[in-house]
Amino acid sequence: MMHKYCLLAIVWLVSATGAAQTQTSVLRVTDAWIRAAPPGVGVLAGYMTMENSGAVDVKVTAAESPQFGMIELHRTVIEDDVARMRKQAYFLVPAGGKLMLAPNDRHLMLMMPNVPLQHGDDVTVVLTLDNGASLEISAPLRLIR
Amino acid sequence: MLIVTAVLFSLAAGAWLGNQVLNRKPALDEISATVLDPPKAVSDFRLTNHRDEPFTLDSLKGKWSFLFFGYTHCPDICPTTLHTLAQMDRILAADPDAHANVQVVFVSIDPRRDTAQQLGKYVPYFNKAFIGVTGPEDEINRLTKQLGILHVRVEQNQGQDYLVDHSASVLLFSPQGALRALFGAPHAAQRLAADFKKIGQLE
Ligand SMILES: [Cu+2]
Repeated sequence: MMHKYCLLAIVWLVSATGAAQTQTSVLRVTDAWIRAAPPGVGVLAGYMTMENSGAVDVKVTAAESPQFGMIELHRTVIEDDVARMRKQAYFLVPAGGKLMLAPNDRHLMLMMPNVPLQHGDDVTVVLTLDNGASLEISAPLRLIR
Repeated sequence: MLIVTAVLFSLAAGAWLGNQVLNRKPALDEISATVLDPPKAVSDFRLTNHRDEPFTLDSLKGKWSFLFFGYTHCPDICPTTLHTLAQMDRILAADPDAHANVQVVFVSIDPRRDTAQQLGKYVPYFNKAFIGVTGPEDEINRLTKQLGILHVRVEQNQGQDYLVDHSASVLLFSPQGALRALFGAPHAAQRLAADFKKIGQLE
């Protein structure tokens, strides 16, 4: 049972292709959280820091959660003071680098909650990586980071 | 004697000048918001607040009003901005007299989905005193067009759903109900509060 403020991700080696491939999926997720919203709101945004300690770029190509019907990868861009939110095909975490999902920028867009969620609840998210591996993380619902 | 008088005079002059500096109005370039001078008058509109009461130009009079335009199906920038405005409100609450003279209004640019009831569940979650506003699409447009607030519906998932691209500015209205300043995104609570205090000193 994870403590609700535990921020470290648990690596879930779903990859069936063996050790050689999982060696390259050295993705680590920290500071994951989901913006708590008023009751009845069906769309939430998730944020986190993704770090890639490997020598190969890693793309996050999809995300799913048992608590949500659908998750999309999104990015908000503010240009000429107009905020535009768009679906992204992937999030690229460069080799040896990191990628931040943050408010008013890249985020997971969590839609169609299966159960009512409130402040303090933990959400389980499984990230699909382009190297065939996946990563399970736990993100608490909070008002602010 | 002459020297003593001259010294006393210059001390007095220095003190007087010092006071002038302390009492002076802030210069516009000390304010990061765009201040409209003179304020822009706005013509009337007929909207509804989240308690299903009329919300018109008169509702903006007698208080300073912060307005933000968004929609409740917006998970990123809208709750982020409402949280920033709630933090700003806590900073302003340190001065209860000034705080009593401030209101924060969230105007929906998605009235199809944002009913008064929906806004009643959403807006007070961030701060009990915040006001949600919605209304017929043409009345929303009557207000947003005057203010230069853009909002464009963008179809998603083969038209099953839509997002709304929208202006991210926070607008400040004077107690006369005129547009006084525009704050560009991204917003920070400290900067909003500091700018607001300086703008108040301009009056
Ligand atoms: Cu989104």
